[in-house]
Amino acid sequence: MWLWFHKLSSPPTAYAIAGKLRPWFLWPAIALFLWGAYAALFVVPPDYQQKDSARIMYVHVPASALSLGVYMSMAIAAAVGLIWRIKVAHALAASLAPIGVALTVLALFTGAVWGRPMWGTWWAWGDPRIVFTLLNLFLFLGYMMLRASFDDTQRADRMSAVLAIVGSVNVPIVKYSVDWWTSLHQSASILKIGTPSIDPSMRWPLLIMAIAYVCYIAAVACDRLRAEILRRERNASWLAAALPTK
Amino acid sequence: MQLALRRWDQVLQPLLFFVMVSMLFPMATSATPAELRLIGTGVVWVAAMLASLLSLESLFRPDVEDGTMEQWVLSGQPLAWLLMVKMVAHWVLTGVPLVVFSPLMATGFGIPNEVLPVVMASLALGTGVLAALGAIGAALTVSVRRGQVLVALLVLPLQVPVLVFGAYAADLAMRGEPVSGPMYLLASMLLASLCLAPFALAAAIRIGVES
Amino acid sequence: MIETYASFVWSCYGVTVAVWILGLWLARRSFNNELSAARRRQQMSSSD
Repeated sequence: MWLWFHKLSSPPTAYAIAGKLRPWFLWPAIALFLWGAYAALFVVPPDYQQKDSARIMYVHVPASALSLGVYMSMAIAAAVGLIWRIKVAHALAASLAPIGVALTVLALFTGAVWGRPMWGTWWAWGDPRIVFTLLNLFLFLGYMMLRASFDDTQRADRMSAVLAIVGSVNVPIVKYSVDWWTSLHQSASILKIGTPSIDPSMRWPLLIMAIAYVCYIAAVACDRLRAEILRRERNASWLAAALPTK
Repeated sequence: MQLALRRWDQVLQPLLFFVMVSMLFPMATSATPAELRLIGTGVVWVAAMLASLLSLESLFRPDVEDGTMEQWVLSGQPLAWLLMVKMVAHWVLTGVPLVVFSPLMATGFGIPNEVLPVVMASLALGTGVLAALGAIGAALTVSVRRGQVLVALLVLPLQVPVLVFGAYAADLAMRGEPVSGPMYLLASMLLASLCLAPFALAAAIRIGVES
Repeated sequence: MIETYASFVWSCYGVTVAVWILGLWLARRSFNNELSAARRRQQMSSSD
Protein backbone atom coordinates (compact mmCIF):
# COMPACT_ATOMS: atom_id res chain seq x y z
CA MET A 1 0.00 0.00 0.00
CA TRP A 2 2.85 2.35 0.80
CA LEU A 3 4.43 1.32 -2.46
CA TRP A 4 1.37 2.56 -4.30
CA PHE A 5 1.46 5.83 -2.36
CA HIS A 6 5.15 6.17 -3.10
CA LYS A 7 4.53 5.58 -6.80
CA LEU A 8 1.75 8.16 -6.75
CA SER A 9 4.16 10.74 -5.48
CA SER A 10 6.27 10.46 -8.61
CA PRO A 11 5.40 13.10 -11.18
CA PRO A 12 5.02 10.81 -14.20
CA THR A 13 2.65 8.50 -12.35
CA ALA A 14 0.60 11.35 -10.97
CA TYR A 15 0.47 12.94 -14.39
CA ALA A 16 -0.74 9.76 -16.05
CA ILE A 17 -3.30 8.93 -13.40
CA ALA A 18 -4.72 12.45 -13.39
CA GLY A 19 -5.14 12.23 -17.13
CA LYS A 20 -6.94 8.91 -16.95
CA LEU A 21 -9.19 9.88 -14.05
CA ARG A 22 -10.39 13.21 -15.37
CA PRO A 23 -13.23 11.92 -17.57
CA TRP A 24 -14.36 9.72 -14.69
CA PHE A 25 -14.82 12.86 -12.65
CA LEU A 26 -16.02 15.23 -15.32
CA TRP A 27 -18.98 13.36 -16.75
CA PRO A 28 -20.44 12.23 -13.44
CA ALA A 29 -20.03 15.81 -12.23
CA ILE A 30 -22.09 17.18 -15.10
CA ALA A 31 -24.67 14.41 -14.93
CA LEU A 32 -25.09 14.70 -11.18
CA PHE A 33 -25.29 18.46 -11.35
CA LEU A 34 -28.03 18.32 -13.95
CA TRP A 35 -29.94 15.73 -11.96
CA GLY A 36 -29.48 17.60 -8.70
CA ALA A 37 -30.40 20.95 -10.21
CA TYR A 38 -33.48 19.48 -11.81
CA ALA A 39 -34.50 17.96 -8.51
CA ALA A 40 -33.75 21.14 -6.61
CA LEU A 41 -35.65 23.33 -9.00
CA PHE A 42 -38.63 21.22 -9.96
CA VAL A 43 -39.07 18.19 -7.77
CA VAL A 44 -38.56 19.50 -4.26
CA PRO A 45 -41.61 21.25 -2.85
CA PRO A 46 -41.31 24.93 -1.92
CA ASP A 47 -40.23 25.58 1.63
CA TYR A 48 -43.01 26.51 4.00
CA GLN A 49 -41.43 29.78 5.03
CA GLN A 50 -38.95 30.61 2.32
CA LYS A 51 -41.00 29.50 -0.67
CA ASP A 52 -38.75 29.01 -3.65
CA SER A 53 -35.70 30.92 -2.46
CA ALA A 54 -34.69 27.92 -0.37
CA ARG A 55 -33.75 26.24 -3.63
CA ILE A 56 -30.61 28.37 -3.58
CA MET A 57 -29.50 26.20 -0.69
CA TYR A 58 -28.67 23.44 -3.14
CA VAL A 59 -25.95 25.49 -4.80
CA HIS A 60 -24.90 27.56 -1.81
CA VAL A 61 -24.31 24.87 0.82
CA PRO A 62 -22.08 22.61 -1.30
CA ALA A 63 -20.08 25.63 -2.44
CA SER A 64 -19.41 26.90 1.07
CA ALA A 65 -18.85 23.50 2.66
CA LEU A 66 -16.46 22.50 -0.10
CA SER A 67 -14.60 25.78 -0.08
CA LEU A 68 -13.61 24.77 3.44
CA GLY A 69 -12.92 21.23 2.27
CA VAL A 70 -10.69 22.47 -0.52
CA TYR A 71 -8.78 24.68 1.90
CA MET A 72 -8.17 21.78 4.26
CA SER A 73 -7.13 19.55 1.36
CA MET A 74 -4.78 22.24 0.18
CA ALA A 75 -3.31 22.67 3.66
CA ILE A 76 -2.92 18.92 4.12
CA ALA A 77 -1.31 18.50 0.70
CA ALA A 78 1.03 21.39 1.51
CA ALA A 79 1.88 19.85 4.88
CA VAL A 80 2.58 16.47 3.29
CA GLY A 81 4.80 18.19 0.76
CA LEU A 82 6.60 20.10 3.47
CA ILE A 83 7.16 17.20 5.85
CA TRP A 84 8.00 14.47 3.39
CA ARG A 85 9.35 16.73 0.65
CA ILE A 86 7.03 15.40 -2.04
CA LYS A 87 6.85 17.73 -5.01
CA VAL A 88 3.59 16.30 -6.31
CA ALA A 89 1.91 17.19 -3.03
CA HIS A 90 3.03 20.80 -3.42
CA ALA A 91 1.79 20.76 -7.00
CA LEU A 92 -1.57 19.53 -5.79
CA ALA A 93 -1.80 22.29 -3.21
CA ALA A 94 -1.02 24.88 -5.86
CA SER A 95 -3.68 23.37 -8.12
CA LEU A 96 -6.35 23.54 -5.45
CA ALA A 97 -5.91 27.20 -4.60
CA PRO A 98 -7.68 28.73 -7.62
CA ILE A 99 -10.48 26.18 -7.25
CA GLY A 100 -10.87 27.32 -3.66
CA VAL A 101 -11.10 30.92 -4.77
CA ALA A 102 -13.86 30.08 -7.23
CA LEU A 103 -15.85 28.10 -4.67
CA THR A 104 -15.53 30.76 -1.99
CA VAL A 105 -16.62 33.51 -4.36
CA LEU A 106 -19.55 31.34 -5.42
CA ALA A 107 -20.48 30.69 -1.80
CA LEU A 108 -20.38 34.40 -0.97
CA PHE A 109 -22.36 35.39 -4.05
CA THR A 110 -25.09 32.75 -3.71
CA GLY A 111 -25.20 33.43 0.00
CA ALA A 112 -25.76 37.12 -0.60
CA VAL A 113 -28.46 36.49 -3.18
CA TRP A 114 -30.15 34.00 -0.85
CA GLY A 115 -29.83 36.38 2.06
CA ARG A 116 -31.72 39.13 0.35
CA PRO A 117 -35.11 37.41 0.28
CA MET A 118 -34.50 35.32 3.37
CA TRP A 119 -33.07 37.84 5.81
CA GLY A 120 -33.73 41.08 3.99
CA THR A 121 -30.10 41.96 3.50
CA TRP A 122 -27.39 41.19 0.96
CA TRP A 123 -24.64 41.25 3.55
CA ALA A 124 -24.30 41.34 7.32
CA TRP A 125 -21.00 42.32 8.86
CA GLY A 126 -22.23 41.03 12.17
CA ASP A 127 -22.68 37.47 10.92
CA PRO A 128 -19.46 35.60 11.76
CA ARG A 129 -19.81 32.92 9.11
CA ILE A 130 -20.05 35.44 6.29
CA VAL A 131 -17.09 37.46 7.56
CA PHE A 132 -14.85 34.47 8.18
CA THR A 133 -15.72 33.02 4.78
CA LEU A 134 -14.58 36.29 3.30
CA LEU A 135 -11.37 35.89 5.28
CA ASN A 136 -11.04 32.40 3.81
CA LEU A 137 -11.13 34.02 0.38
CA PHE A 138 -8.30 36.33 1.38
CA LEU A 139 -6.34 33.37 2.69
CA PHE A 140 -6.64 31.60 -0.66
CA LEU A 141 -5.62 34.74 -2.49
CA GLY A 142 -2.77 35.34 -0.06
CA TYR A 143 -1.52 31.82 -0.67
CA MET A 144 -1.51 32.39 -4.42
CA MET A 145 0.16 35.78 -4.05
CA LEU A 146 2.87 34.44 -1.77
CA ARG A 147 3.57 31.66 -4.24
CA ALA A 148 3.85 34.15 -7.06
CA SER A 149 6.34 36.32 -5.20
CA PHE A 150 9.09 33.71 -5.29
CA ASP A 151 11.06 32.80 -8.38
CA ASP A 152 12.43 29.62 -6.89
CA THR A 153 9.73 26.94 -7.03
CA GLN A 154 11.00 25.05 -4.04
CA ARG A 155 11.00 28.11 -1.81
CA ALA A 156 7.58 29.12 -3.10
CA ASP A 157 6.27 25.64 -2.29
CA ARG A 158 7.60 25.55 1.22
CA MET A 159 6.80 29.10 2.29
CA SER A 160 3.26 28.94 1.00
CA ALA A 161 2.89 25.58 2.74
CA VAL A 162 3.64 27.27 6.06
CA LEU A 163 1.08 29.94 5.25
CA ALA A 164 -1.55 27.37 4.28
CA ILE A 165 -1.04 25.50 7.53
CA VAL A 166 -1.20 28.66 9.65
CA GLY A 167 -4.33 29.81 7.84
CA SER A 168 -6.12 26.53 8.42
CA VAL A 169 -7.05 27.83 11.85
CA ASN A 170 -9.77 29.80 10.06
CA VAL A 171 -11.58 26.67 8.85
CA PRO A 172 -12.87 25.49 12.22
CA ILE A 173 -13.75 29.10 13.01
CA VAL A 174 -16.02 29.24 9.97
CA LYS A 175 -17.52 25.86 10.76
CA TYR A 176 -18.22 26.45 14.43
CA SER A 177 -18.95 30.15 14.34
CA VAL A 178 -22.63 29.46 13.92
CA ASP A 179 -22.57 27.51 17.17
CA TRP A 180 -20.55 30.09 19.07
CA TRP A 181 -22.57 33.11 18.02
CA THR A 182 -26.27 33.42 17.35
CA SER A 183 -26.88 35.42 14.24
CA LEU A 184 -28.35 34.93 10.82
CA HIS A 185 -26.98 31.48 9.99
CA GLN A 186 -28.60 28.64 11.85
CA SER A 187 -26.79 25.79 13.52
CA ALA A 188 -25.93 22.73 11.50
CA SER A 189 -29.19 21.33 10.35
CA ILE A 190 -27.90 18.86 7.84
CA LEU A 191 -25.03 17.00 9.39
CA LYS A 192 -26.23 16.82 12.96
CA ILE A 193 -25.81 13.44 14.50
CA GLY A 194 -29.22 12.01 15.06
CA THR A 195 -32.28 13.32 13.35
CA PRO A 196 -31.48 16.13 10.98
CA SER A 197 -33.90 18.95 11.09
CA ILE A 198 -34.30 19.25 7.35
CA ASP A 199 -37.06 17.12 5.99
CA PRO A 200 -35.62 14.07 4.16
CA SER A 201 -37.63 14.83 1.08
CA MET A 202 -35.58 17.98 0.75
CA ARG A 203 -32.25 16.48 1.68
CA TRP A 204 -31.38 14.06 -1.08
CA PRO A 205 -30.79 16.58 -3.89
CA LEU A 206 -28.27 18.24 -1.57
CA LEU A 207 -26.31 15.02 -1.38
CA ILE A 208 -26.38 14.69 -5.15
CA MET A 209 -25.20 18.24 -5.59
CA ALA A 210 -22.46 17.75 -3.01
CA ILE A 211 -21.11 14.72 -4.88
CA ALA A 212 -21.43 16.64 -8.14
CA TYR A 213 -19.34 19.46 -6.72
CA VAL A 214 -16.71 17.06 -5.43
CA CYS A 215 -16.42 15.43 -8.85
CA TYR A 216 -16.18 18.86 -10.45
CA ILE A 217 -13.40 19.90 -8.09
CA ALA A 218 -11.53 16.68 -8.87
CA ALA A 219 -11.94 17.15 -12.63
CA VAL A 220 -10.57 20.68 -12.53
CA ALA A 221 -7.80 19.61 -10.16
CA CYS A 222 -6.72 16.90 -12.60
CA ASP A 223 -6.12 19.44 -15.35
CA ARG A 224 -4.42 21.92 -13.07
CA LEU A 225 -2.25 19.27 -11.50
CA ARG A 226 -1.08 18.07 -14.89
CA ALA A 227 -0.34 21.63 -15.94
CA GLU A 228 1.56 22.22 -12.71
CA ILE A 229 3.60 19.04 -13.16
CA LEU A 230 4.42 19.95 -16.75
CA ARG A 231 5.53 23.37 -15.63
CA ARG A 232 7.89 21.96 -13.03
CA GLU A 233 9.34 19.01 -14.86
CA ARG A 234 10.89 21.10 -17.56
CA ASN A 235 13.65 18.86 -18.72
CA ALA A 236 12.72 15.53 -17.29
CA SER A 237 13.29 12.55 -19.51
CA TRP A 238 9.91 10.96 -18.88
CA LEU A 239 8.28 13.84 -20.70
CA ALA A 240 9.65 12.64 -24.00
CA ALA A 241 7.71 9.42 -23.69
CA ALA A 242 4.57 11.04 -22.36
CA LEU A 243 4.17 13.94 -24.72
CA PRO A 244 3.69 12.47 -28.18
CA THR A 245 0.69 10.60 -26.87
CA LYS A 246 -2.00 13.04 -25.96
CA MET B 1 16.51 44.72 23.17
CA GLN B 2 19.34 47.19 23.75
CA LEU B 3 20.00 47.34 20.04
CA ALA B 4 16.36 48.12 19.48
CA LEU B 5 16.37 50.90 22.01
CA ARG B 6 19.15 52.48 20.08
CA ARG B 7 16.97 52.40 17.01
CA TRP B 8 14.38 54.40 18.89
CA ASP B 9 13.02 56.03 15.81
CA GLN B 10 11.72 52.65 14.72
CA VAL B 11 9.69 52.61 17.89
CA LEU B 12 8.56 56.17 17.50
CA GLN B 13 7.42 55.99 13.90
CA PRO B 14 4.71 53.35 14.29
CA LEU B 15 3.48 55.20 17.36
CA LEU B 16 3.17 58.46 15.47
CA PHE B 17 1.44 56.59 12.67
CA PHE B 18 -1.03 55.20 15.21
CA VAL B 19 -1.77 58.69 16.49
CA MET B 20 -2.13 60.16 13.04
CA VAL B 21 -4.37 57.44 11.63
CA SER B 22 -6.65 57.70 14.64
CA MET B 23 -6.91 61.42 14.05
CA LEU B 24 -7.74 61.01 10.38
CA PHE B 25 -11.18 59.63 11.05
CA PRO B 26 -12.70 62.55 12.94
CA MET B 27 -11.02 64.86 10.46
CA ALA B 28 -12.37 63.06 7.43
CA THR B 29 -15.90 62.49 8.59
CA SER B 30 -18.20 65.19 9.74
CA ALA B 31 -19.27 62.92 12.55
CA THR B 32 -21.03 64.15 15.63
CA PRO B 33 -19.49 63.39 19.02
CA ALA B 34 -22.07 60.70 19.57
CA GLU B 35 -21.18 59.02 16.29
CA LEU B 36 -17.48 59.25 17.06
CA ARG B 37 -18.06 57.54 20.35
CA LEU B 38 -19.68 54.67 18.48
CA ILE B 39 -16.79 54.07 16.11
CA GLY B 40 -14.00 55.16 18.44
CA THR B 41 -13.09 51.76 19.82
CA GLY B 42 -13.00 50.25 16.33
CA VAL B 43 -10.88 53.06 14.93
CA VAL B 44 -8.32 52.84 17.73
CA TRP B 45 -8.03 49.11 17.15
CA VAL B 46 -7.65 49.43 13.38
CA ALA B 47 -5.02 52.12 13.83
CA ALA B 48 -3.15 49.85 16.24
CA MET B 49 -3.27 47.00 13.72
CA LEU B 50 -1.95 49.13 10.90
CA ALA B 51 0.76 50.63 13.09
CA SER B 52 1.92 47.18 14.15
CA LEU B 53 2.25 46.24 10.49
CA LEU B 54 4.67 49.09 9.89
CA SER B 55 7.16 47.95 12.45
CA LEU B 56 7.43 44.47 10.97
CA GLU B 57 9.87 45.51 8.28
CA SER B 58 12.66 45.86 10.81
CA LEU B 59 11.90 42.63 12.60
CA PHE B 60 13.67 40.00 10.52
CA ARG B 61 14.88 41.54 7.32
CA PRO B 62 17.97 43.36 8.67
CA ASP B 63 19.13 40.23 10.47
CA VAL B 64 18.60 38.05 7.45
CA GLU B 65 20.42 40.45 5.20
CA ASP B 66 23.48 40.84 7.38
CA GLY B 67 23.75 37.14 8.08
CA THR B 68 22.84 37.19 11.75
CA MET B 69 19.81 35.01 11.18
CA GLU B 70 21.91 32.44 9.41
CA GLN B 71 24.09 32.27 12.51
CA TRP B 72 21.03 31.69 14.60
CA VAL B 73 19.87 28.88 12.35
CA LEU B 74 23.27 27.24 12.36
CA SER B 75 23.84 27.65 16.07
CA GLY B 76 22.98 24.63 18.11
CA GLN B 77 20.20 26.37 19.97
CA PRO B 78 16.51 25.76 19.21
CA LEU B 79 15.54 28.31 16.62
CA ALA B 80 11.90 28.45 17.75
CA TRP B 81 12.96 29.56 21.20
CA LEU B 82 15.31 32.25 19.89
CA LEU B 83 12.62 33.57 17.59
CA MET B 84 10.05 33.60 20.34
CA VAL B 85 12.31 35.79 22.45
CA LYS B 86 12.78 38.11 19.51
CA MET B 87 9.05 38.18 18.89
CA VAL B 88 8.23 38.99 22.50
CA ALA B 89 10.85 41.72 22.57
CA HIS B 90 9.29 43.19 19.44
CA TRP B 91 5.85 42.99 21.03
CA VAL B 92 6.96 44.84 24.13
CA LEU B 93 8.80 47.46 22.15
CA THR B 94 5.96 48.23 19.77
CA GLY B 95 2.97 47.28 21.88
CA VAL B 96 3.76 49.21 25.05
CA PRO B 97 3.78 52.63 23.38
CA LEU B 98 0.47 51.81 21.68
CA VAL B 99 -1.12 50.72 24.93
CA VAL B 100 0.19 53.78 26.75
CA PHE B 101 -1.11 56.21 24.16
CA SER B 102 -4.38 54.47 23.45
CA PRO B 103 -6.29 56.22 26.27
CA LEU B 104 -5.37 59.53 24.70
CA MET B 105 -6.70 58.48 21.33
CA ALA B 106 -9.79 56.88 22.82
CA THR B 107 -10.59 60.01 24.78
CA GLY B 108 -10.29 61.93 21.56
CA PHE B 109 -13.26 59.91 20.35
CA GLY B 110 -15.23 60.71 23.45
CA ILE B 111 -14.90 57.31 25.02
CA PRO B 112 -15.70 57.63 28.74
CA ASN B 113 -12.95 57.26 31.32
CA GLU B 114 -14.37 54.09 32.87
CA VAL B 115 -13.94 52.28 29.57
CA LEU B 116 -10.31 53.27 29.06
CA PRO B 117 -8.80 50.51 31.22
CA VAL B 118 -10.67 47.95 29.13
CA VAL B 119 -9.32 49.51 25.96
CA MET B 120 -5.81 49.40 27.35
CA ALA B 121 -6.13 45.86 28.66
CA SER B 122 -7.59 44.52 25.44
CA LEU B 123 -4.85 46.22 23.46
CA ALA B 124 -2.21 44.92 25.85
CA LEU B 125 -3.32 41.37 25.15
CA GLY B 126 -4.21 41.97 21.53
CA THR B 127 -0.95 43.59 20.46
CA GLY B 128 0.76 40.37 21.53
CA VAL B 129 -1.32 38.30 19.15
CA LEU B 130 -0.92 40.93 16.45
CA ALA B 131 2.85 40.83 16.94
CA ALA B 132 2.91 37.03 16.70
CA LEU B 133 0.82 36.94 13.53
CA GLY B 134 2.75 39.86 12.08
CA ALA B 135 6.00 38.09 12.80
CA ILE B 136 4.76 35.06 10.88
CA GLY B 137 3.95 37.30 7.94
CA ALA B 138 7.34 38.98 8.16
CA ALA B 139 9.12 35.63 8.28
CA LEU B 140 7.19 34.32 5.27
CA THR B 141 8.15 37.32 3.16
CA VAL B 142 11.64 37.87 4.49
CA SER B 143 13.28 37.06 1.19
CA VAL B 144 10.73 38.88 -0.95
CA ARG B 145 11.86 42.24 -2.16
CA ARG B 146 9.43 45.03 -1.41
CA GLY B 147 7.19 42.65 0.40
CA GLN B 148 5.56 45.12 2.76
CA VAL B 149 2.17 45.23 1.10
CA LEU B 150 2.20 41.45 0.75
CA VAL B 151 2.85 41.12 4.48
CA ALA B 152 -0.18 43.27 5.18
CA LEU B 153 -2.37 41.21 2.83
CA LEU B 154 -1.26 37.97 4.40
CA VAL B 155 -1.45 39.08 7.99
CA LEU B 156 -4.58 41.24 8.14
CA PRO B 157 -7.03 38.37 7.49
CA LEU B 158 -5.42 36.37 10.26
CA GLN B 159 -5.59 39.33 12.63
CA VAL B 160 -9.29 39.97 12.15
CA PRO B 161 -10.45 37.75 15.07
CA VAL B 162 -8.23 39.80 17.38
CA LEU B 163 -9.76 43.00 16.08
CA VAL B 164 -13.27 41.64 16.47
CA PHE B 165 -12.84 40.58 20.07
CA GLY B 166 -10.73 43.52 21.12
CA ALA B 167 -13.17 46.09 19.84
CA TYR B 168 -16.06 43.99 21.15
CA ALA B 169 -14.62 44.07 24.66
CA ALA B 170 -14.46 47.84 24.60
CA ASP B 171 -17.98 48.07 23.21
CA LEU B 172 -19.29 45.85 25.98
CA ALA B 173 -17.59 48.07 28.52
CA MET B 174 -19.26 51.11 27.00
CA ARG B 175 -22.63 49.46 27.50
CA GLY B 176 -21.70 48.61 31.05
CA GLU B 177 -21.70 44.86 30.47
CA PRO B 178 -19.09 42.43 31.77
CA VAL B 179 -16.08 42.04 29.49
CA SER B 180 -14.74 38.76 30.82
CA GLY B 181 -15.82 36.78 27.75
CA PRO B 182 -13.81 38.54 25.06
CA MET B 183 -10.96 39.21 27.47
CA TYR B 184 -10.54 35.54 28.25
CA LEU B 185 -10.65 34.82 24.55
CA LEU B 186 -7.95 37.39 23.88
CA ALA B 187 -5.85 35.92 26.66
CA SER B 188 -6.19 32.41 25.29
CA MET B 189 -5.39 33.67 21.78
CA LEU B 190 -2.28 35.26 23.22
CA LEU B 191 -1.21 32.05 24.95
CA ALA B 192 -1.86 30.00 21.84
CA SER B 193 0.07 32.34 19.59
CA LEU B 194 3.00 32.57 22.00
CA CYS B 195 3.21 28.79 22.04
CA LEU B 196 2.57 28.03 18.39
CA ALA B 197 3.84 30.99 16.41
CA PRO B 198 7.52 30.32 17.12
CA PHE B 199 7.29 27.01 15.31
CA ALA B 200 5.82 28.62 12.24
CA LEU B 201 8.45 31.34 12.53
CA ALA B 202 11.27 28.80 12.71
CA ALA B 203 9.96 26.92 9.71
CA ALA B 204 9.58 30.07 7.63
CA ILE B 205 12.95 31.52 8.63
CA ARG B 206 14.71 28.26 7.83
CA ILE B 207 13.18 28.24 4.37
CA GLY B 208 13.94 31.90 3.85
CA VAL B 209 17.56 31.70 4.90
CA GLU B 210 18.72 28.65 2.98
CA SER B 211 19.99 29.59 -0.46
CA MET C 1 -41.82 42.54 -0.28
CA ILE C 2 -40.29 40.20 -2.78
CA GLU C 3 -43.09 38.84 -4.90
CA THR C 4 -41.23 36.23 -6.82
CA TYR C 5 -37.93 34.65 -5.94
CA ALA C 6 -37.47 33.35 -9.45
CA SER C 7 -34.88 35.93 -10.46
CA PHE C 8 -32.86 35.21 -7.32
CA VAL C 9 -32.92 31.46 -7.75
CA TRP C 10 -32.17 31.49 -11.46
CA SER C 11 -29.35 34.00 -11.11
CA CYS C 12 -27.72 31.78 -8.52
CA TYR C 13 -27.95 28.68 -10.65
CA GLY C 14 -26.84 30.64 -13.67
CA VAL C 15 -23.77 31.99 -11.91
CA THR C 16 -22.96 28.53 -10.57
CA VAL C 17 -23.07 27.05 -14.05
CA ALA C 18 -20.97 29.95 -15.33
CA VAL C 19 -18.36 29.41 -12.62
CA TRP C 20 -18.28 25.70 -13.35
CA ILE C 21 -17.75 26.24 -17.05
CA LEU C 22 -15.18 28.97 -16.45
CA GLY C 23 -13.25 26.79 -14.02
CA LEU C 24 -13.15 23.85 -16.38
CA TRP C 25 -12.19 26.02 -19.33
CA LEU C 26 -9.42 27.90 -17.52
CA ALA C 27 -7.95 24.67 -16.18
CA ARG C 28 -8.03 23.07 -19.61
CA ARG C 29 -6.45 26.15 -21.13
CA SER C 30 -3.59 26.25 -18.62
CA PHE C 31 -3.00 22.54 -19.25
CA ASN C 32 -2.93 23.01 -23.01
CA ASN C 33 -0.58 25.97 -22.70
CA GLU C 34 1.83 23.97 -20.59
CA LEU C 35 1.56 21.04 -22.98
CA SER C 36 2.43 23.09 -26.04
CA ALA C 37 5.25 24.80 -24.15
CA ALA C 38 6.64 21.41 -23.18
CA ARG C 39 6.30 20.14 -26.74
CA ARG C 40 8.16 23.18 -28.02
CA ARG C 41 10.97 22.65 -25.57
CA GLN C 42 11.11 19.01 -26.57
CA GLN C 43 11.42 19.88 -30.27
CA MET C 44 14.06 22.49 -29.60
CA SER C 45 16.22 20.15 -27.59
CA SER C 46 15.83 17.21 -29.96
CA SER C 47 16.74 19.28 -32.98
CA ASP C 48 20.07 20.30 -31.44
